[in-house]
Amino acid sequence: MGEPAPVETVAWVGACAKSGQCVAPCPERAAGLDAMLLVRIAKQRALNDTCQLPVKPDPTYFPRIKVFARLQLSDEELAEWL
Amino acid sequence: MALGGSRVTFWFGCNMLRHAEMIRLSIMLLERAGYDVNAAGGPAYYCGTAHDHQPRAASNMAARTVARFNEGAENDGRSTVVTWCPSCHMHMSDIMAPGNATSFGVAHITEILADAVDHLAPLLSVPVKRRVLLHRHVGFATHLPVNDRVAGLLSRVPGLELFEGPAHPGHMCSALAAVPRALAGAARDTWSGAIAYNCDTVCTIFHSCHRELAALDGKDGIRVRNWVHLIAEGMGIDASDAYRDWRKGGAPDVAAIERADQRRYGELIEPELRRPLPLP
Repeated sequence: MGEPAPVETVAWVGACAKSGQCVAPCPERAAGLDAMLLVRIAKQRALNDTCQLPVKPDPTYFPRIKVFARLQLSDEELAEWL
Repeated sequence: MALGGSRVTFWFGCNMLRHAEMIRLSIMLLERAGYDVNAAGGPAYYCGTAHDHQPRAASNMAARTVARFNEGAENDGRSTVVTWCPSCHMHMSDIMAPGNATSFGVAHITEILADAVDHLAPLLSVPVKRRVLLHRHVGFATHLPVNDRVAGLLSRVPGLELFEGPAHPGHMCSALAAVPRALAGAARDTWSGAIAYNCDTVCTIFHSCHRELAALDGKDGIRVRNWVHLIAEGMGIDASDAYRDWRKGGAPDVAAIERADQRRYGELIEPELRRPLPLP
């Protein structure tokens, strides 16, 4: 379990849109640190460890995709691609 | 980018299954570029990127996907996995491949086609007289300059005039969903840019952007097309777009709905197709 982060940090992590603008300016990049990946790990911690970000599961995610596939793909495509 | 051979797996991801024509056109373009293509996608080839709240399950599914691609590389000589989705590509590059032993390399479809553009250019013989605004995001540039790759490909389509649209945050539109008003702002700024440049077409690069903007097709006399549609037009190939037509009030034919399960269609698909337009 990680420690809870400041509210501002959690808000920043939660709003990350993966623009990647943090990657190049990161002063630790030369040492191998990927700032965008670090923010993503922080988001996972906030979701799963400290529970500071709300989990929004979507149980319809895969079923919806499968219905879209069956609407459009031939039997052959369904068998070969999925 | 170094390709391992001419046999590739085209990994189109999950959400591209809304856009079957775009999958088929992508396969066709790869084949015309000289590749032997095996397509794979959907939940059985899930990357795990949308399940940060279930890291163990996501990790297991990602490992399963890598194992399947390893089988393709080792047993079928498909030593390159060609991606479409930027989320899948980034997840593979940053998490899946570092975390699992891989027997394959990864390349984005726009890299492969851009490298083969001299092979494709002779096939682009039909003028496409459109003024096209390219809908762009900044994010995927951490992994490859996709905006430049697509612009380079479209520059080979005869008759097509291309204008760079505003560069929006995120790697594609779905990344903006968590930020209030950001998604609507991206649609508004893209549309304003198209009007300012007197464009008649907005071109999307990724599926999630196409999903957002498709319903605006026809507004202000501006059409919405994906880059694969425009390349296909330049080859004289019919490039239909069922998802766009459904978002504009159409619907799949009755037989397709029955095949897909009418109840599930009503529960899962219709609400998405009938959601409000991203712009008034």
